[in-house]
Amino acid sequence: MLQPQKPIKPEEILEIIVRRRWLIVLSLCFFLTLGVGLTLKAPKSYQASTLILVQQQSVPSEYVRSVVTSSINQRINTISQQILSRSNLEKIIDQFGLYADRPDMYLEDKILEMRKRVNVKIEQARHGTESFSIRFSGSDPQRVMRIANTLASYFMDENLKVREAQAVGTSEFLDFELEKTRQRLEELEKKLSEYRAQHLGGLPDELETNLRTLDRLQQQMVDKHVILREAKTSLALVESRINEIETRARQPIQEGSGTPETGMRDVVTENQEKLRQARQEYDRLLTVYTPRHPDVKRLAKTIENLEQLVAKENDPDAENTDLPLKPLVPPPEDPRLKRLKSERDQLKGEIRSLTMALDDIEKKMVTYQKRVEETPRREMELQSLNRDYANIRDIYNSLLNRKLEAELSVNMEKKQKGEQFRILDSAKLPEKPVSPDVKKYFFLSMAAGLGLAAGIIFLLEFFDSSLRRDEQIEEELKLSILATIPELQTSNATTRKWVEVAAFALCSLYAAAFFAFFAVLYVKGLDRTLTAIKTMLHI
Amino acid sequence: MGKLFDALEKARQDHRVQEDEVPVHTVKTGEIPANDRQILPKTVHPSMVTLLKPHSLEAEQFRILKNNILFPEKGDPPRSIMITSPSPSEGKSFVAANLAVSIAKSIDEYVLLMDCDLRSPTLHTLFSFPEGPGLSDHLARAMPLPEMLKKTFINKLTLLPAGSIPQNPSELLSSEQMRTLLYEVKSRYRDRYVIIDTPPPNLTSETNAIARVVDGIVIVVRYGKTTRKQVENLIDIYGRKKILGVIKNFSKKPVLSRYPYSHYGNTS
Repeated sequence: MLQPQKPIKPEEILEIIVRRRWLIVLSLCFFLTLGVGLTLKAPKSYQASTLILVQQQSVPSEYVRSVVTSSINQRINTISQQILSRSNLEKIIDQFGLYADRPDMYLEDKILEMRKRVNVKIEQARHGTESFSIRFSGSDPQRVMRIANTLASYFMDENLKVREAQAVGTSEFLDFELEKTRQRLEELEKKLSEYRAQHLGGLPDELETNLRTLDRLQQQMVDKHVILREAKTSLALVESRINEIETRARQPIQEGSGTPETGMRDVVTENQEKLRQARQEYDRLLTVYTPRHPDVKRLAKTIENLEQLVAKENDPDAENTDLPLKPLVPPPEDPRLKRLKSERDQLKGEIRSLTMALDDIEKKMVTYQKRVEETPRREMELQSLNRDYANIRDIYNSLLNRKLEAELSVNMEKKQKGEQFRILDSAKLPEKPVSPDVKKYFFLSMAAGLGLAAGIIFLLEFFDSSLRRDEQIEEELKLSILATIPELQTSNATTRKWVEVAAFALCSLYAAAFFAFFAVLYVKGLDRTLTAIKTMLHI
Repeated sequence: MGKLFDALEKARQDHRVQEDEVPVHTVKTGEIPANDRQILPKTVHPSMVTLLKPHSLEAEQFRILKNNILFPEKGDPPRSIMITSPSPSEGKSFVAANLAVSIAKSIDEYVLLMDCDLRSPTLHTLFSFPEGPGLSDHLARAMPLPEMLKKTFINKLTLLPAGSIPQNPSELLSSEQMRTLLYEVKSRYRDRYVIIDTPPPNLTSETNAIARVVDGIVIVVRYGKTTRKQVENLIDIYGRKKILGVIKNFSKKPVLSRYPYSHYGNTS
């Protein structure tokens, strides 16, 4: 028995529409009337808009970096806040005599309403370049246009002021900082030079010189010591000579001859050595061979020869010792002694001066030593001083650079070469009111009328299970249709039908008239249509 | 088949006899034949289309209905037919009266039209009879039936009006007497059709009693008013077997139909 829901056929829809025509027409009539009424009744509001382009700075930013770094959005926000500020809006209200017809209105409410009517909007449509529009809406088109233009010019002025103030402010701040840094730099410079003056010679950059001086002094000292020692030796020699001469002058000379002889005898000659070796060899050979062995015999012969030679050598020795003793013997002579003494005095003087020079060198060396030893400490101190100095100098330099840039930027702002606003479209006299939006009202009332009708029809049809179509009886109920009797056409029914047709026609005509009027309003614009109607009525 | 043949033969003879008396079938124009007009009282209800406008679209529909009932696809035609509809004012009496007229007019069968709607009887007004004794009186007070039968201006059509409105219509119609009456009426004349107009079964209970006795049931459906559920209920109560079919009343012409009602010829 159960049958799947059949798709609704177009003729069935048409039938439903015809059956429910009253609903559709009445709903349309109602909403179109409502729509037209609202459109005519609603207060007219005009909107004037000024399009402002944000122009990038004309001097390339590689050359002059702008000091004004806040983003355009931020700036627009700031400026729109300024524009929407109470004092500014008050000024505009006074200037244009707004709300003059409403003396009972509070100023706060006026300002609140003004704020709602001013609209600053960033336009994203233009790629890359940014632009924004200032819109003002109100009931009087002339006034709306003038206020929109005033707002725009105020906006521009404010922006320039803000930018310049920002640039000048930056420059002044940098000035102040620069001065402060310069003072600190000078202070440090002074401190550094004082330190250098105080520790002159012991500064780390003099270490090499100091070390070399120390080396030189060391060398000098060594040299001087050598000279001193030599001088001392010479002095001792000279003194011993003097003594010798003096003692010899007082005692005979014989005592002195024995000592050189004994000295001479101690000397072992070559032959004696050879002899001793030969004797040792001979003793060794005898332990091995008999005395008749040829080698032993030959060695005995050699020993014999050597003994002769040694004996010969010892004889002339006695003669030679006598010869040198003879010149020493002569008595001391005065001139020689005198020369020696003067020589001694001279040497003594030399030694004294050398000692003094050595002392001097030693003292110098101590000083230099100390300097060298203290160099690391000084270096550290100096390093910290230098570091501070370098830091401050860097800061100073960078500040100086920035200051120069800031000055450039200030000049740029002053000459308005920086980023600035340019009015692309100044506000025009609005011809068409933005509100009421005829298009919106038109489509809304049409949609509402048709929608309500469609909704009600849908609900009615959905819950309507009455039998209308033959299929419902034949297929769903499985009953045959024996006959289909149309409505009887009595004269009463006919009259009613005619009345209905007439009423329906009237309603349709009404709806069509409102539709047409609405369409004209939409196409021609509200104002023009109304003025046209007014002139027609006057004529 | 033999019986049927006999019946048809007899009917043909009767027909021939009656044709001379009332030449209904010879009328070709849309106007009511002069003879009929003379017979018809002025007060006949305008809804009697089969009488007043025998060549109108509506009358033609009743002819189709008659043919559908009298010549079923299989089996004998039902002799007693109950006309009902789920709710009041869906056109039961209108259909019953017109169907009865249609049957009585066109073939040689006699028709008895019974108004069983004891609550709000209307059939007698359709035929412009004054209020008088009827079925209720017969059942309640055992008044003899022949007195109550009214001969209408169509020869073979006899009307049994409802009579005075009783207080207990349900009991009366469910009574044994009523059943006997129906049996008697059915069986007395083989060539007589009994058309029974009933009260709406959704509101009253007496229709069930009648439904059990009759041969066939015709359901009147009012276009756009009678719901599917109501008809389904009737099917549940009476059983699909007895229901001959549905009559769509107050039907509207389909919007896109170029040939109005052309498809009804197919119904069987």
